[in-house]
Amino acid sequence: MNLLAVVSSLRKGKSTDKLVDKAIEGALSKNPDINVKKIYLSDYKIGYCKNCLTCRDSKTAEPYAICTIRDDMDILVKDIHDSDLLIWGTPIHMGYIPSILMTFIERFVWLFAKPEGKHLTLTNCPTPRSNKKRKSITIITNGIVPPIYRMFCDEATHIIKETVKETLNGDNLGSLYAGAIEKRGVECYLNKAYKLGMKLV
Amino acid sequence: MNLLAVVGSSRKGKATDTLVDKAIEGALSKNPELKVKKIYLSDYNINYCKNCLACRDSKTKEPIALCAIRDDMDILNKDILDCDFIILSTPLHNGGVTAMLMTFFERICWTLAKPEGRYLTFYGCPTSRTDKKRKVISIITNGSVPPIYRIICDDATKLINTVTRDILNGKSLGSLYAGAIENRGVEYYFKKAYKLGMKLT
Repeated sequence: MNLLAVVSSLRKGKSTDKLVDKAIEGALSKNPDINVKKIYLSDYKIGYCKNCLTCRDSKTAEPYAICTIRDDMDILVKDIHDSDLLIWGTPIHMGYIPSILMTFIERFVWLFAKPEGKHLTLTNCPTPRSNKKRKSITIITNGIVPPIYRMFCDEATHIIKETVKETLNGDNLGSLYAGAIEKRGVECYLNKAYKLGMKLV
Repeated sequence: MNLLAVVGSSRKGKATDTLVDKAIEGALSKNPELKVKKIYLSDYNINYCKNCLACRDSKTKEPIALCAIRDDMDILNKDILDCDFIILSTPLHNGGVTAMLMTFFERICWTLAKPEGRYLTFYGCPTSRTDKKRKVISIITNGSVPPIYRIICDDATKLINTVTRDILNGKSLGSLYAGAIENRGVEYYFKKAYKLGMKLT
């Protein structure tokens, strides 16, 4: 079993990073044999998607299509492909996922999905290229907005959920919204993150 | 009067770009004296927000707080300060704005706004640092999703409207959703973009 933890905060060792560590601990407590890889998106050079749609229109039978841009995504795509369990750690920026995670998601969406899905009468929606199932949890941090206002201020969970479902064939097992961290401190969420990690395995 | 047109697509001369051109034409038809500056975000080196929050916590009386990062945003900040009219444009990626436009938004968020706004019982929301009013229109393009499904697939307009109101101290005068462009061709929306541009001035 491979666990891939994606940290999309640029602040290493801070809230998001700490909570992801706790979730990994929780997962390892249930199954110590898991292969864990934690990546900081800020350590990798990832270019913006140019919207050439070569990947979307690729007819490949492989589990993922090839992007026309050669950069560090080549490494990360392999990591995603190998993963069985996923942890997404992200702060909220303006109610959404930060641009660094958006860049990452844009780059792999049509690599792992093919445009053969359907919603209502709308065709060409993304659906996973491979049958490999994955499990995923999401950790969202927010400095000021407390959990009570989550429904107004958190589009991030929705974006990650949809992407995981339609692209990576992933099952969402839960999410933690760690709000108002500037006041409360990150410590009050450590236990919840640990428990969420245990759910993953 | 200054008009700033921001193109959030990497594809120059394609759908988003041509619709922005049409909107500019429309604006110029009403007011030929307008000084127009069109910027392609892909031409500028804009780094990700590091979330240090130096700008948010700045007590400056200037219309803009200083970002801790020195890059091409220094140029763009001047353009934003000078402008009276803004055209924001983006293709839809995963239902939201492109990562490139998001990077731009993150960087202007707390430099142009101060945390003194309020929603319900919740303090610390962004509100513009200046009284200068701006007028804004937005153009959203989408290759496959037709306008009838806009309500399900378009989170970009919502984000752009929030940025317009809370950060740019702007009034949103309308938005054009140019959907299903791969089928319909971009010409289908030229007239609408022109008319939207006329509304601006």
